[in-house]
Amino acid sequence: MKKKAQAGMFEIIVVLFVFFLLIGFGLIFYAGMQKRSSTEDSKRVLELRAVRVAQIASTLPELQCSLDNAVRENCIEVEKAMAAKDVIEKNIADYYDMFGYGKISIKGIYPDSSLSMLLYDFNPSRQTYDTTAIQIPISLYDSVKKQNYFGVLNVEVYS
Amino acid sequence: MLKFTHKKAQMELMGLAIVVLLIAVGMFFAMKYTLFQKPPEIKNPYMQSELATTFVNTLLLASTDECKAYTTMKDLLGDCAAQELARQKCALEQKYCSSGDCKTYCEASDKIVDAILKDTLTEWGKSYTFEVYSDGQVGNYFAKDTCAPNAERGKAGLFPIPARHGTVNVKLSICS
Amino acid sequence: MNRKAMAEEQFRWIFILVAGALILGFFTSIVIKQKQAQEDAISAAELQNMEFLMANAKVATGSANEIELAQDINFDCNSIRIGRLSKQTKEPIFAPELLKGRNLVTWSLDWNMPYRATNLLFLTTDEARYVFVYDEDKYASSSSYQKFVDELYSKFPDKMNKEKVSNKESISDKNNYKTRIVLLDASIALPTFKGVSSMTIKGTDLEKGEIQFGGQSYHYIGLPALYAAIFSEDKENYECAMDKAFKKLKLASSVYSEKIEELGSIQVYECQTHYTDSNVAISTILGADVATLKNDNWATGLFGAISAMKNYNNELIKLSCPPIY
Repeated sequence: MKKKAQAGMFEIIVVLFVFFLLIGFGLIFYAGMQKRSSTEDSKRVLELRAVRVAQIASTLPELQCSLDNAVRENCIEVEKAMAAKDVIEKNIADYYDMFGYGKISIKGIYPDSSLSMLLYDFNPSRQTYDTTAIQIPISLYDSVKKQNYFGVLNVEVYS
Repeated sequence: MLKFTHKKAQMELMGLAIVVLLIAVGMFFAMKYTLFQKPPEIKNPYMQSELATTFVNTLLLASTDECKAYTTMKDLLGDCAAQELARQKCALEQKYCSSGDCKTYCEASDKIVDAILKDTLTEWGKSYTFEVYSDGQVGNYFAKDTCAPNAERGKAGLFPIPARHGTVNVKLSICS
Repeated sequence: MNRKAMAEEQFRWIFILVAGALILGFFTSIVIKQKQAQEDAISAAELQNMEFLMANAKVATGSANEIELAQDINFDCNSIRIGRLSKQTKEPIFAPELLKGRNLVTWSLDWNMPYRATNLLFLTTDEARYVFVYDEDKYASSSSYQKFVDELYSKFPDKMNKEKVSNKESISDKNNYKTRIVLLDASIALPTFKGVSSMTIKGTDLEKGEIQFGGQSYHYIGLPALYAAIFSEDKENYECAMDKAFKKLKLASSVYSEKIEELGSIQVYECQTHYTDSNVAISTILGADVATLKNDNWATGLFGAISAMKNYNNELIKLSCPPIY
């Protein structure tokens, strides 16, 4: 009788053990799926952030082309960019609030491919981070020569 | 009776063990094919169409002094499309005829667009179709196509330029 | 034997109860944690939507936009809170403390001093009411006052819950959670129902004048700054957001100052004189902050510098010199 009761008890314990083992497997699987979807989400969020930073940079009053306050979309003025480079460096904390961790630069493609300027650069202090980069064609306007160059706005963001 | 009971209990345990084994194997395969698979690349059709539109707009505004001083790509492409002038060479307007390098407006435009595309879309690893054509005309003034044959083309950036002999269309599509 | 069986039975039931309770407790805790996580996820998504909405509103100025408001939003000058989550904001945003209603309305305007310094972003909801009170006698007798009232009212977006009443009418309770009364150089017996706040605009010039609220007078320069006062919850919110706007003005002015220096060194004489003269004006603009708005002389000086910059820029454009802005 004792042995029967012990066997019965053992059976219940084994069943419970297996039950919790299966639950454990299920939770590991669920956690893995959640991790995967959150990794995809964070990548998407980082891409959207890159687009947002590019949007902000290209419409910044310190950079955007304008004539008597009539702004030109998708255009950065070269003389303003040269001045803004120094101002951004001296006030990096204020621009960090807008851009976060990242790098923003402009590069001339045609006709002047020598034009290249790093406007903003702020890296996270930790060693590893996710990064995503986008490139946007943009007009670079030289207000002295009154010429438009085909340029590219490079935006890199770090998580 | 006792032997039969023993056998019943053993069969029960065997059954339980087989079920657990089946579930474990199922979970293993599920985990292998879902968790450890590389996630698909996130494609953004909106960004592709925005890129195409922005590219064409920026290209047309770019200044150039090929063939003419102080002109824009929009004017140069318009000259390329004007049927009479298409056959005339840049030399009639200005320079660019040294050492036999005499170009038509279309050749000059083609060269510039090619250089810009190489330094931008090609370098970024994007495939594209770029065309300059007139409404109603069969064939293009010039075109470039690096898309795979069955590749899906995103929404095109299209810009019509009014020219002397009709409208010239500049069209860029980015392929996925 | 029977007693033993009974005891065994009891223990078996105790064991079942304990195991059952453990399992139930385990799953219940998962459900509760998931519910909380989902609520936080919804708040986080709402906050992210707000962020993108504000970024878009900043880029596309002029027209007001409306979106559905899923949850109430708590706003103070430096942060936006939805549910348990909050996000810091460094942009100049003018809004009531509580945004409650079916739809959130966003509106942004370029703040030109005289060059664009930043966009001022205004947030409100369809449940917040804006009542513009004008002086009926003055409206009938003064064309400049009439023009001022009509223009100020018409430029205020139609998507917002606005109305115009004369000082001879009374303001009824329409059960709005917030009612902002804007007195256009007029006086009226202020209603006593809940959520009422008021401010006074003195003068009839949309470009410059004086406003009073929260026991404090401020000068305003430009229509966006006037609207900013209308949307602000109180003078603290107004000053805090205007402080951020002036910081942006300083950054833009620093860029233009360097640009002027660069252009001045390479341009012909006719252009150079205007660049040199504009240096003085830009120094005044660079030195401006919120305190300037509270001081008559400083505000007048700032307005003078802005007008001077406009003139220099116009002259440069006329002479085909590279303009300052």
